[in-house]
Amino acid sequence: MTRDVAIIVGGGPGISASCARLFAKSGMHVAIAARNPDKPVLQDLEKAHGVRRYACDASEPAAVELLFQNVVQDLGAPTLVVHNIDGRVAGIFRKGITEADPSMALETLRGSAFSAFLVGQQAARLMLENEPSANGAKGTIIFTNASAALKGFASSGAFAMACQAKSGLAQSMARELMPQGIHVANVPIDAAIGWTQDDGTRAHRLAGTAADDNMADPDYIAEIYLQLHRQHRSTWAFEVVLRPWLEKW
Amino acid sequence: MKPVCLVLGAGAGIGGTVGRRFAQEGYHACLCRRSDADGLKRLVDGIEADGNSASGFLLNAIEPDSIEARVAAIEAEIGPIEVVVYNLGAQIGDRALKDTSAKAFETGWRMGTFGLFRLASAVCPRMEARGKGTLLVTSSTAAMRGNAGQHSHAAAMGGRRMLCQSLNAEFASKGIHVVHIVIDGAVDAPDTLGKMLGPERFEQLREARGREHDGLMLPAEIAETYLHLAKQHRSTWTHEIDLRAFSDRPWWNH
Repeated sequence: MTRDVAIIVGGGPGISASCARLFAKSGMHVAIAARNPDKPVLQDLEKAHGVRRYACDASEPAAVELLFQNVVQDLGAPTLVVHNIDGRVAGIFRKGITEADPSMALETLRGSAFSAFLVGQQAARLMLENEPSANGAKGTIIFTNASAALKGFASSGAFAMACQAKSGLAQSMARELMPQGIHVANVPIDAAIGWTQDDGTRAHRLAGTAADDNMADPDYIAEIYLQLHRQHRSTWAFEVVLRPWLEKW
Repeated sequence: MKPVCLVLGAGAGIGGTVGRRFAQEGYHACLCRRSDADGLKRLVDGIEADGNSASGFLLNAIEPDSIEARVAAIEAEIGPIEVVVYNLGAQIGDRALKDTSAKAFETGWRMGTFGLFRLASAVCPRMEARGKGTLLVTSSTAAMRGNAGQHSHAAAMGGRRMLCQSLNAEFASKGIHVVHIVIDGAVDAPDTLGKMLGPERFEQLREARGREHDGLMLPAEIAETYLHLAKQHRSTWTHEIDLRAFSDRPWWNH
């Protein structure tokens, strides 16, 4: 059996790093792309797990095309692609509709839904050419999403529109690609994510330190992504919402 | 003492197959179904032939006290119920409103919704006392949309879905993982689809869409996802999941 090739677009210390570690440990070739691939956490992934780092502004069509070309050349055609970009620019957080800056709203859309479109398009073009695996699947495309995919919060208009656009894209791609052997999944994470810090605690920059598993642990989210990839095509999940057991919703 | 995986609605499709998969993971499978003692024995024998343990019980989920007494007896005699799989179907085929009797509607509700309420009432206090437990609830397309002729089934399954949400709201923070699993397609299951279609049409369907086409949902593969759901870490639980064959149209596109 040939090895899986995974591309994770959007790289940082959370879900992407957990996925990169788990995918590498599971025997996959792993590529991770970020605007700044020299972040220490990504360098650590390269050293410890052989993850290849790529620079990519995923809201630029040519950059995304080049990223996929490079990965194909270096590692082979992808069988698992994770779009993991939040897309919000710093200045758009907690801005009411009357005060939100239109250019920042547009930039958020470009970073989130538009980059998901670009990544999904490149992934689909390549995967359609893949030889089907033993169970007939040509690949898996997973979109990390957020609570805003399910409900629009006050003072979060730009992000709500970006996340719901991403959901619509995922749904449409699923309808088009699943019958052609490509599993598409939308995974809204309805939670704060607390990753393990150097001191062993888990924390989120706004929600504080995790206690009693009240925040999603990205190492376990990665296990769910891997399970989605391994699901048999006779029983594929499309939308999987994840939240901690204590989450109010 | 092994933890118990209790399955209500254990036919040769999802129920029995999920029980067998959990037995492979070290659970004692308690398989319950309304009728067909021979079929039940075959399922138990199959699990024992794997070198694992199981018990079979005939149980009519509509009868008063049947579920409650079975839960109490299992807890007393076999072990703590850590996982329950509520897998009772309530599909009676398409019937126009005028052909849907009050009795048929009520029976659908008893199997679709009320039985789950009774099961939850029996197991949740025990799970809560232990601080953990998993309720895996098989559900269907009818939980998401009411199709023509589905008055009884859609109402029953819609009720099942909302009950799952309400159970989750009360018990998730007490360590009980409640999952509503939308099986949005036809399952390659002889005891349900097979009986509904009859042997000849079932074989035709398997020939056309099942087998190597993977267009009928395979219980053994569905069971892998049930097992994964039961193993999810509590920091990242899913409450509702939809499953269908890759080639099938989902409920929102029909």
